[in-house]
Amino acid sequence: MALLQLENIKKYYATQKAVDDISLSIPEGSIYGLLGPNGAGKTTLIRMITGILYPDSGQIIFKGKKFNPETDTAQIGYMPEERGLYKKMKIGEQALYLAMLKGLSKQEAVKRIKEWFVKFEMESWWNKKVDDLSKGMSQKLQFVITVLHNPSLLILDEPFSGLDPVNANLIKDEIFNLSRAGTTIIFSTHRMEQVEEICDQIVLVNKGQKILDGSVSQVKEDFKEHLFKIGFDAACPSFETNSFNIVSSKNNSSLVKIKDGYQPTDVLKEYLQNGAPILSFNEVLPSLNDIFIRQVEGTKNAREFARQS
Amino acid sequence: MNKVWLVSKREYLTRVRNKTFILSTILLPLFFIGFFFASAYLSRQSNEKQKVAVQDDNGIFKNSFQDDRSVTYEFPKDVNINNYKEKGYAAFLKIPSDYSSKNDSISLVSEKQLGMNTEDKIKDQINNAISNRAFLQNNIDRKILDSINKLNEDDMYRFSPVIKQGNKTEQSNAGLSYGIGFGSGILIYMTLFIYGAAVMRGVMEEKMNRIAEVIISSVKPFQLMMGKILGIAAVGITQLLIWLVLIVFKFYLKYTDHD
Repeated sequence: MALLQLENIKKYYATQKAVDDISLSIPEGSIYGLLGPNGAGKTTLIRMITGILYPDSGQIIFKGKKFNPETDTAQIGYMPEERGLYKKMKIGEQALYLAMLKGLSKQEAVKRIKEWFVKFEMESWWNKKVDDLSKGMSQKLQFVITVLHNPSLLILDEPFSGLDPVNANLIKDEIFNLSRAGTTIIFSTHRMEQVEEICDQIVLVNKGQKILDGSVSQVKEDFKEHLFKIGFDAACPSFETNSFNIVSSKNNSSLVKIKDGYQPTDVLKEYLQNGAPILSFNEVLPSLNDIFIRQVEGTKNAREFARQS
Repeated sequence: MNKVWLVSKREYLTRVRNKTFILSTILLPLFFIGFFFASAYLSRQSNEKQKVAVQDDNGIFKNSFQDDRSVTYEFPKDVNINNYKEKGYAAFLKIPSDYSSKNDSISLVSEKQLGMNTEDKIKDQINNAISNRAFLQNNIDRKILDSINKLNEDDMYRFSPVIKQGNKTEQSNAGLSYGIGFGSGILIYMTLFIYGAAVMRGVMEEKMNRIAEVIISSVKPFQLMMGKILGIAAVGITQLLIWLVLIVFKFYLKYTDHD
């Protein structure tokens, strides 16, 4: 069952169409990757889901009912990309305040904050101020604050930026724990390797429009180019037949592209008939990064983005 | 409603616990007292005696100008517009022989601005002198003139306005009511100004910290703003109450001292 459904959501600003007719269905309990280059409309989309902005048209269905920002936001945890905390406020009080704003009672909030602080080894931080924390430390704090009220929908915008690998793993494990406990997670990023590792489903948006969506493996399958990597025990044979082309050869291995209408076994057979000393034969699936760049290429935004990454 | 309460509680506590709150609560009255004394001191400074050299071509003003606390008049022979400064005069007053003609004017020369008060005083003296001269020219006895002038200086009569409501009568004090009204006006203006700016700074802080996005995803903007305004208003009332208590305490001390 879908926890959250977007139907033809639109949000136009004076100068641009930030979100232009996007429909999505986010299954309950999934980790859903929201991908797109800078300025694609991800943040606007998230802000509409969190009730910060209202869509110009279209509907948001949350748990089978029309989304009501006043009551439903208590079930949503949102960690924005631009982290924000009160700099001069003590960390414990801050966490308590934000948890109570989400509707927790004081005792319950204190209990949960203590649990999370122990889990993240932050017990000694209670009386410190955010000013005294490093970027990574305040990131951890922000994550704790986001999940304190056990949201059924957790929205994370670039949760790992600025974290060292140890702390990134700590948070990643927590994300998986929450997911296992039934929390639906929307994960917005443009770090593709994280998406492949974490997400079940993805949607790719560019210039306010949905370009593709589906499960990670399905998307990869859809965009495969019938490329195979063949490793040899000696120098690569250089013959080509009707069934395949050699894309590149290097260090005793070749990348071949199988032509339409042929199967990998056809290629193998031909190699074996020619007596090639084959060590390995693997399908090469495109990385999400490749798919991403290929899909958004050609637009101005995308070119800038591709150069950055 | 509960969220408005939470927000305003936070706004109140963070501000009241802040050192700047304590400092401004103490410093602001000190600043006002200091300002008051400084302006009193400065106005006394400018009240030092000023000597004015008068060149009176007809010699008709010589005996009618009266010195007062801040201005003295002298009628030296050898002083002119170029050397009055060296002779120790603050200003040079030249009264031409035909002062009532439209072509000539009574001129007052000084190096520094004399101040409105001093200028008015000099003008009053000239007016008096001229009107006295006119009376005398019209055969009014000098004694009568002096007695009329004397009448003006003394209190001619007593004037006592009274407010009567039913059986209650009390002394009317328009000056006091005016003062209270004026003071309250300034107080309202200052509080609006100071605490309005505080609300603005609070909103700015949240925008700059980027925490606004986190909070707006849990509270309605109206609740956030309402909480902020109520919280800061409570801070302002606390501050005013502290001042009120201090003032009452001070008067209390004063009265017990006399016992």
